[in-house]
Amino acid sequence: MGFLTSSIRIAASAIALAAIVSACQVIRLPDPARARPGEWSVAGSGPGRNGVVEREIAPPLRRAWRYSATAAFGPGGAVVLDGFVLAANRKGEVHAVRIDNGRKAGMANFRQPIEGNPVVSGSTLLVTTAWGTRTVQAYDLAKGERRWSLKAPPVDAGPVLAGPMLVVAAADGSLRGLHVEDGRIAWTDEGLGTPVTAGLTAGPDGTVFVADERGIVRAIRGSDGVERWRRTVGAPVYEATTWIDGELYVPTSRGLLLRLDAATGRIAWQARLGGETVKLPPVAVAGDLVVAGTTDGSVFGLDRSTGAVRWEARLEDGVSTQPLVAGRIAWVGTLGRDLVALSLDGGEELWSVELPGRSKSTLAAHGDGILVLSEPRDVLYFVAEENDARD
Amino acid sequence: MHRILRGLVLSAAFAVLAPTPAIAQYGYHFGRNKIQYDDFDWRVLETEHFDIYYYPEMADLAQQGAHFAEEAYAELQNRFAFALNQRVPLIFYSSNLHFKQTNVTPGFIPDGVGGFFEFLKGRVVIPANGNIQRFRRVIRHELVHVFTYNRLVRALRDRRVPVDRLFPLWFTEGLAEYWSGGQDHQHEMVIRDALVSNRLVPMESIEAISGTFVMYKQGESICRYIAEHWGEEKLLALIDSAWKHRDFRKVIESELGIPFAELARGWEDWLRARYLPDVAAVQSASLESRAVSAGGFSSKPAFYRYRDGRRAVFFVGNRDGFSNLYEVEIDSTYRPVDKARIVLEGERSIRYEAFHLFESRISVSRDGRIAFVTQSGARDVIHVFDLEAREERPMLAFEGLVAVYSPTWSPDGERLAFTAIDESGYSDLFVFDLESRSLTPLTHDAYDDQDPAWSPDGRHISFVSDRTADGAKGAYNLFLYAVGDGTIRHVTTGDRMDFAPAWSPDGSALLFTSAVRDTTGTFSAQDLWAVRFEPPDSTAEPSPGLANELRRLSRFTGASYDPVWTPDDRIVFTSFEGFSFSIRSLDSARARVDRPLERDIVDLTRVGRPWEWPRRAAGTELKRTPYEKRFQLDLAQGLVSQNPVIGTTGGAVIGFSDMLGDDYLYLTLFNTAQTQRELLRSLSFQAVRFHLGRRTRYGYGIFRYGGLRYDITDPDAPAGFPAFYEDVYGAMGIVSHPVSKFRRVELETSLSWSSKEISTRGVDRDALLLSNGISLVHDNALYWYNGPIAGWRARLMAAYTTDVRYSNVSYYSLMADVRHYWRIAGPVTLASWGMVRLNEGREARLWVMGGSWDLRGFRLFSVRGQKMWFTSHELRFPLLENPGVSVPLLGSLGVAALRGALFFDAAHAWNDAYSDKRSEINSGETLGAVGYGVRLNLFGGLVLRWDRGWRFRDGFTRHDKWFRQFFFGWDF
Repeated sequence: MGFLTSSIRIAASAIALAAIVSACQVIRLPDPARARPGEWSVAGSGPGRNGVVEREIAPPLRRAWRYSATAAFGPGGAVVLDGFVLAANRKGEVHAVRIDNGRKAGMANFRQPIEGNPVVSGSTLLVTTAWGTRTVQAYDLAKGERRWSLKAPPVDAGPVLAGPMLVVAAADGSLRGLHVEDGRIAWTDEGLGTPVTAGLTAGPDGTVFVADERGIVRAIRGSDGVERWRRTVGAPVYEATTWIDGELYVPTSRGLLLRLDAATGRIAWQARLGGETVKLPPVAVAGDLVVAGTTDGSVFGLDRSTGAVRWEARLEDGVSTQPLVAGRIAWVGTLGRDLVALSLDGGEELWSVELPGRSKSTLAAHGDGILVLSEPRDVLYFVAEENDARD
Repeated sequence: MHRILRGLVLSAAFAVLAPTPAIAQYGYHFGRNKIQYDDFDWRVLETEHFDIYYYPEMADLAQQGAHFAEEAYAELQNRFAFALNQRVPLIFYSSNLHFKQTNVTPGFIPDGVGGFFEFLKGRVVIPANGNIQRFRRVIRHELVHVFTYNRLVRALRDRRVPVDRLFPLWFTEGLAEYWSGGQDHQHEMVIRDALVSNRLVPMESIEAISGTFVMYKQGESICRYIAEHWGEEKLLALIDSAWKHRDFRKVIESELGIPFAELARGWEDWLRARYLPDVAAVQSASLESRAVSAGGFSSKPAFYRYRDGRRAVFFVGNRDGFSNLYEVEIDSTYRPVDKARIVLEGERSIRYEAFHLFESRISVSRDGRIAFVTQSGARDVIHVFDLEAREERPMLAFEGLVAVYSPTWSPDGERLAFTAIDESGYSDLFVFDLESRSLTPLTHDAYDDQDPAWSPDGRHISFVSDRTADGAKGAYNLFLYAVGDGTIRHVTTGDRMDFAPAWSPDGSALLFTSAVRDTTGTFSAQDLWAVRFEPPDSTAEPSPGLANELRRLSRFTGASYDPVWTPDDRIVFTSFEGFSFSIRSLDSARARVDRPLERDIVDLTRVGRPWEWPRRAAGTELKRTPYEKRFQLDLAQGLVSQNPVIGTTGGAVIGFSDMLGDDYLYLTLFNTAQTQRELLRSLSFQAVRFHLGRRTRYGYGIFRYGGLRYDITDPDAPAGFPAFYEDVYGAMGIVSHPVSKFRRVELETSLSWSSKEISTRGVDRDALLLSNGISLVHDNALYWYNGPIAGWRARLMAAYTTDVRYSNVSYYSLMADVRHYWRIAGPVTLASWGMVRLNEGREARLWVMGGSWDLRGFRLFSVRGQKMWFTSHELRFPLLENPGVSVPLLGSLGVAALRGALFFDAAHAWNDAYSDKRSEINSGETLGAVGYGVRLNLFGGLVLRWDRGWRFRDGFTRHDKWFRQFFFGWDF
């Protein structure tokens, strides 16, 4: 009997431990459907992926907290929702972290590396994975459980919401429009047979913009998958485009930046920002200025209407993230493990701080601070020195 | 020192002191010696991303290298879209001979290795060779490796995948070649020849040429093909996707979206489309010229006509694994009269330690003295051999000059001009007067001056150099040095690779080789060219300001090297065709010059200024500090073993070394306890330190061994199950002094307290043991896939062990182990081994024998005695040279050198009386084995052995039994 009692105790302890552990393996947010102004539902602040916030986040900043997310991050950035940051890593986990104190609020494991940004629609977290069979998954953030998953080819590119539709580009170039609620396939496009790595972008009218590794940019109607136009830009595209006010900005991997008319695909201008080996991360458009970084260490301020270079800032190392423009400050992360603040007026370097590692994921803004995903596996939150993280 | 412990310590010593992959049988080893000839005063130059290790003599070159490294870093950071998280140690050497002394790698570095990157500490080691552009390119090449490796590690770690895979060598080297600069003329040469001679290795079996120069070039070509068809971004994507599959072929298929076989076919078709259309316009050297010496590797020809009228061509070559100086006698039509014979053997003695087969020409004076260069100890030396008298003259070595190349005789035979690299790392021309013994530099700058050739009238020395406007792109042009006033004039100009000038006998023309780069950046084949000096009068001075007409004499499918214009109006040259280098001849040299295949005018009024080095701006000096030795962790490994006798043992090894690999520290801890109570008693450890930074290497350490031990060499242990308890505490020292690359002296000493207990035999013995030994080792054996195939090696040892406190132990040890390898013909070798070992005295230990490694047919170590002799003779021959087998699940199985053997072994072990038989240890009778076997090398490192035969006893009077034995290990 004594043996039986101790066995039962051991079993009960194990069950309790498993319950505790499993409780940490879910994400359950108090009110995920409540999106507050300025929160980022997709990397780059919205389906247009324009990395701009109106309020100024000026240096100097201090690091409010640092959170270890067990694995590194892909180029897709974090999502900010309801006081939490959701960061997806290359081990297949999405970590929910409280922004006020940097503590873990939950974690969901999708088992395969996540390269593209996650997307939030209402209380649904939509995640795509770069390997495995069920590569599109939906997760209920309120209930902390999976809602649906879809069998599809691996996905490297960040998906995008076009109205009620989630549009996903697989690594083989095929496109799918899915109903967010239940994952039903609304339409399929076989693609052009060229891989798509660049994150998808959408305009407010539901047009989705897809750019592939051959340098072909397509505009697809998100509701039914009908192609509106396609344009060859003459260089491969590996990074997300940026949509704003009917303009589509296409960064290539051969030093070329183009602005297209989003309605017709006509090339408005193209700017050569570096040689054939220079790669461009996505750009940010703030007012009449286009801010673009390059992997050979330059940040350009370009005239939005003509593409002419207004200023060029030279940094010590290559720029690896989309610039985040907050007021009159442009923030960039570099391959040299720095977070750098530049003046939007003339590109002067105002301030910098060393990060634990390289940052190659899109930056995110929250309140008066900046969220950075840094190697080896850290989520960092920097706030203005005079501010408190509780704002 | 007790044998097992000695074995442990010497295993560590072997790992750092023995430079070659020799077999540590019986606790000792052979091996050649890697000698620290020079005492480098290391300094460290710090740049933004690098710590550059250099010595003061090469400070200027190190500064240049620092600039090149940062330049490459900036470019590669952009190309890879990746930055390194740690500073990179770059270790520079000013010449190849210094580079060969590096302790960063324990192995020998052959000629032709341009540098390497090692994973343990992320070190990049690069030698200069006098060519600044080459130095720059090698720095870039190695940094591509650094970036590739770090990006791979990041791709795996990001996804928490173990870092347990590397890319195939063809990809890493191909990418490094591709991104270190444009296609050079050697790339074109190799690929073109591979296609035309149908020797292109398909991608599916490219592992078969792993590590070869051809693999580098094919790999580069594959990377270029992928870049041109899928974009350079795909090369990065292949690195980033390494986590998806362990099999790199599947990674390629996944990223490129096509089957691997389709990629392989597409690449070959692409190559054919690029090169084969030109084939119709070219000729085969083997059809157009006459072979003087083909077979093996032959290069750097020189011609001489003996006083008795015989004609001969001399060359350096390698036909049997060793490089030698050869002579082939030819008739008036330049047909060989007989086979080539060796004039001087190389690589078996310190005098002719190593030939520089690809770099150094040879020259014969009018009176028949041949001058050539080999490495001899710390330096290159010029040898002079009198062909008429067949006598060697004294070697010529030059203080301050490290590497020497391409000596050329003055017409009067009293001077030699040559290229040399001094300790600064820059290459210049020198003239040595044999009479006055004076050495005069002709040039003294950072330009690379090579291939001097003295004109027949003695007034000029032609040479090649990068002191030209296109030198920044790697171009080499022809120049003339006026002996009278020292002026230097262009003979050629432009973006060309001009090499190896040779005068016509009347001095009116110069032969040379050239590869010309076209506007697309592609090089033509390296063909024979000539330039005539107008008027065709040897007294005329070639003047600057004129145009020179260059005349193309050949258009071969392969490449041509080192032409010689003989008095018989013939051209003798080295031909590269079908992946082999042979010596060939063309007739009618003058007519070919008069009626060339092509003419190219070079305008010498537009030579421009020679390119200049990028110099650091004043006030931007880099920080320089003396080198401070600091130990860094190399390995920390846990060990667990299960032994049917001892049971389970566990332990750990921790190893440290400094950045230059000159200093090692090993800590070993293990335990053989059978029960908890024995834990402390059975705890063993050793701490050993080795110093390798000087010519004489030494090590010292302390140790403690305790607990149950199984020692078959202990004379007190029961024969059937020699397990007993012994505690040993002590210290040891070892010194190894290399007399030459092939010979060394070793001294060992140890002092230890031993407390031995064998309850079943009533043994309870304490002793304070002092052991001293001296060994002489010789090894010039040539190793092949399964073991040595030529040369010989030997070890003589004498030692004395005594108990200085209680006199319980006192014995001396003698050993002679001699092995000879007679290369009968080609791949067939007769290997012979004779060995005598004896221990004599109180508590003298037993020697052991038996098993596949020596006395075959008997169980491993089943023959024991305090004295023994052994002999073995084995005929080794090939069965299959290099088959490759693809196994679906295991991938490509590298199989090399399936060889057979016929053997005869005989041995006799005894203790007190020679014929006193003890069957339990097989002593007191002559034993033997006769049989046959096969050997197979797997993956380049593991040799499997299978033998079958008859076993004999009683002096071969009794056939004991048949046996079969399967094991692993190199041939003796």
